[in-house]
Amino acid sequence: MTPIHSTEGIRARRAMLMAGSLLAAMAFSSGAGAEPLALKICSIDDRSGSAADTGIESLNGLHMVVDPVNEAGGINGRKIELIEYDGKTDPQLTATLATRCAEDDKGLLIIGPSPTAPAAAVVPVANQNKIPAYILSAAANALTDNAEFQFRFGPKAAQDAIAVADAAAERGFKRVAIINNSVPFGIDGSESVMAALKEKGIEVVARETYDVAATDVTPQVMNLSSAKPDLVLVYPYPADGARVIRSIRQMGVTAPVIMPRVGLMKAFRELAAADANGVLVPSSVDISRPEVKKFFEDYAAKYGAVAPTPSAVQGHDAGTLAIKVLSDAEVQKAIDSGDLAAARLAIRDATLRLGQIDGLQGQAGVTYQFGKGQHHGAPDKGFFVYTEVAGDGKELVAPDDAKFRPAQ
Amino acid sequence: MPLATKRASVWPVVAVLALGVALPFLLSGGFQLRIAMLIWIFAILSMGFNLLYGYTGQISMGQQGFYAVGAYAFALLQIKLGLSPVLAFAGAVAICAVLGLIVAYPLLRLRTHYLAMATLGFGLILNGVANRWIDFTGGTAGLTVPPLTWGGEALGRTGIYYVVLAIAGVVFLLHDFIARSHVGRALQAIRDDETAAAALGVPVRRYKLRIFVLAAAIAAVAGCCFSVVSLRVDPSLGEFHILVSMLTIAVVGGLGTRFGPLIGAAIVTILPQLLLQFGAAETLIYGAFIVLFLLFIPHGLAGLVENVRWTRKSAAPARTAATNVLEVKG
Amino acid sequence: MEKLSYLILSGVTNGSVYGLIGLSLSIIYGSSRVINFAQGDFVMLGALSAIMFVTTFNLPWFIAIPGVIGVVMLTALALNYGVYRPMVRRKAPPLTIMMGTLGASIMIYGIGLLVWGPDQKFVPALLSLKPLIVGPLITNPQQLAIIATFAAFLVLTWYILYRTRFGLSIRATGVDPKVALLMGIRSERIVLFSFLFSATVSGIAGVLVGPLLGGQIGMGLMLIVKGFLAAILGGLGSPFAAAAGGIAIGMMEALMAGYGTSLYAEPAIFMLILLVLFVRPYGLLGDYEAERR
Repeated sequence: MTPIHSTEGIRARRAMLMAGSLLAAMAFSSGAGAEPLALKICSIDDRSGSAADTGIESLNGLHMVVDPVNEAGGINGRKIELIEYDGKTDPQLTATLATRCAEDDKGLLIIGPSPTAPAAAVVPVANQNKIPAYILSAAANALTDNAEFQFRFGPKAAQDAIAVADAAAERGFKRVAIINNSVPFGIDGSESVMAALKEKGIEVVARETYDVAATDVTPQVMNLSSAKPDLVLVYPYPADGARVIRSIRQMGVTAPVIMPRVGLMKAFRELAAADANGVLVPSSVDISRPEVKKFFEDYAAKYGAVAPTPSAVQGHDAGTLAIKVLSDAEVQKAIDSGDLAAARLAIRDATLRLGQIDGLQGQAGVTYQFGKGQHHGAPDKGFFVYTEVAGDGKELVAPDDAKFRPAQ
Repeated sequence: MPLATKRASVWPVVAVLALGVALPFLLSGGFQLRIAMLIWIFAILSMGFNLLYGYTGQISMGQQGFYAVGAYAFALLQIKLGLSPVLAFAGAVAICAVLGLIVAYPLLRLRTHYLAMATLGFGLILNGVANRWIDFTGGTAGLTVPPLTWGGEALGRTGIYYVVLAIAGVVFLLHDFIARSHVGRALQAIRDDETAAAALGVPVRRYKLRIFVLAAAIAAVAGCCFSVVSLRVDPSLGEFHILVSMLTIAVVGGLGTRFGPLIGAAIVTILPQLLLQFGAAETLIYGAFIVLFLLFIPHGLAGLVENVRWTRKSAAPARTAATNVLEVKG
Repeated sequence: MEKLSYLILSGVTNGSVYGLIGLSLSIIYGSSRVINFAQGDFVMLGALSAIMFVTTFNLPWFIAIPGVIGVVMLTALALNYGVYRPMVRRKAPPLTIMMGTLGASIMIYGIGLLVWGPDQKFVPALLSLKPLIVGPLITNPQQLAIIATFAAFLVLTWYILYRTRFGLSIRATGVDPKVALLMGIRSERIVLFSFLFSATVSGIAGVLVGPLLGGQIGMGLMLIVKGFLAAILGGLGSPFAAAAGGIAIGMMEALMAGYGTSLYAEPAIFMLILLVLFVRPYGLLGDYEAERR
């Protein structure tokens, strides 16, 4: 028997020292002084997880406005530093990274994340640390209720849903069927559109859910088909969206199909090919606007072609407002004073003051509506446009309004 | 038969807790304090798992489910019933204990891989319900947890740290007490050979049941602490990556050791922050880290420190693919 | 009646996918008593390397398919020599080896992230996805190929196990490894074979489901969960029981979605499986393993 008991205390103490030095190694504290603050913006979003497309595209969009400013010498001679963190759609990790940005990096502003769950996790961090956060597409309705430091650039779920319900009501659809996948995107999307349709008095004749791992969705589509809908709403991921639309057409359902967001994505259009024709996509990106078209051409030149989904545009718009706010005289004064808390407060106030910018989201002439008591940027009217998939999935065109009607 | 933990003293644990008390004075800011709190929370969660799997040999891959239920119950009892945080905490722990009992009763009939997969299924059920039952659970966005208050004012970060530390301290002392007492030895006997343990008069079934319920309750405690820190609960608390973190803590810290959960939690919480600089290669490095640990430090860092012996496990004859079967045959 | 036949076809299709994964899990389990957490990643590698060979390198299928098998087999070799064997030699218990395969799974995911990135991708279809009318039902060739492949691998597994000398050694190892060892059967070789064979099954499954599920590095995780449940529902010990478990889950899903609530189908089915295990702790067809206790 080895005399382990006598030495155990020493060993444990040594372990503690190790743990202590590990913690100490993390303390990269920087001294605060009267020096002007660095223009640090933290971009925290998913770049490797299930919503990586949103995080990567929004960061690229952000770079497209920040890089030219830096190349031209920055704001008052100071360049903007972008600190990029991958939060992986993990709320806990995202909140920790937001804390790191606020406390360790001494960031002035957080941009991102896009998915709902991590965005919701950033809200308490932003308000505790009193650091402004420009949240992107996160759709949960209550995210900006009684907001202090968080702002949102994307439409909320209710608006998304209202855009669909409005279109259905205006065109006289009476029997709507919904099919969604069983991940949060699908469940949340269909829940909120059901509420919006109920408000308009439109009957939901079927609501079906399928597992993203199911290669065959016939049972769900059969129930949907036998309910005889005059309009079908689909909330999928790209690949299962293709599966659903193929099944829907095979089962002989001819009603128009609306597929929010995912309908624009390349993977969906390639997989669905001819079956994608005629799918309608409500989106906050109006590709018929020349400046939007130009933005996506520039984007393609720099990062490769991308479907005109809202993420890149949201990154761009958040960056545009951030630059405008950072250039503001009062914000500059606070930054020069070296007082981090004052600078963050000034950025918050300037966002409220200057937040009616004309971004790339929404129809032409529609502006963001940030202002006192209004931390949610997207207005209810004129924010959505419909796009139609055509040319066996290769083209996106303005919809033919005559076809977007209930069958007689 | 040497049992490493037989006459071990409680002092190392007390010393670690004293370091915990001093920590806010050693750290430079809120970020480090948040990391420290997360370490304690993951340590609590993993102590339950350590008692269950490390000491008793009963794996549960559903601990993240109890963690999430604890956090949700803590939030919902305050929001819907207006309970005080203390009552909500007690309620959440009690709910998980009862749930643990309901689950343990049928599932503990299963062994090894069947138990692992069945408890994994249990975790998936809870997560599926949390995502679907939006009216009750808030769906993906989750719920906002009211901040802790002290004398009418919201408790500061250091205050919250001490609340978490106090709770972690109690769990740590309990974990250590069980590990060092005759109960711990009985549990290890169950782990090593159920039949032999029963023959020696250990009430196998009762002990397994109790320890499963205790682990569920401890997971709930961790969940409550997390919601106090993050002020939010959401379905991601019951997701796979929590389970992966917990298993990694077990591997890196060392199973069936007194300090493994804490050491493992410290590394699993700090490491991803240090790996951030590797960008897209981070995931690969994390995976390699787990494999290398299993290959070269199989009893974890605490195993090195505590020089723990896996009693009969290491005394068993060379285990090949073939003799692995004996494990299943019991 | 028409509805029921559609539901059965759908259940068999989805069940074949779960069954293929359950089958490949239990092939490894049968020889090594280890649940391989990285099994789903073989499916992912199958789908994504099909993209690499067919779309990126523009190779014909008759070269691409051996290429895909090569990729998954190399991965299986790395898993066997890099994780499984060293851990066995270090006397790690099976559940610890399972954690090792989990680490390997995270590594494969990490490599996939570096090679293919995080987005869901278009996977070229080996067979047409155009509708095909079979009797009263509409289906497509790719879907039928999944069912046919599942059946073919079941027959092949049966043939190897019951009609070859090698299969006899495998079964001997499964019944009593000690005695098998004494009779000169080298279990390490058998385990290596089972890794390679099961990786091939999963890799081919990946090629087939890729065009339907899309290729994404995380697809392994969502599939392996169903594979696990298939295997424990049927019984881990026998490949055929695990395969049957897959079909059972597919059928339950289809019937639940067709006649009940599709929203709560997933949690309800998991619950049902747990209830089955309560009555039969070694799965529906697990008598074989239970008797050996």
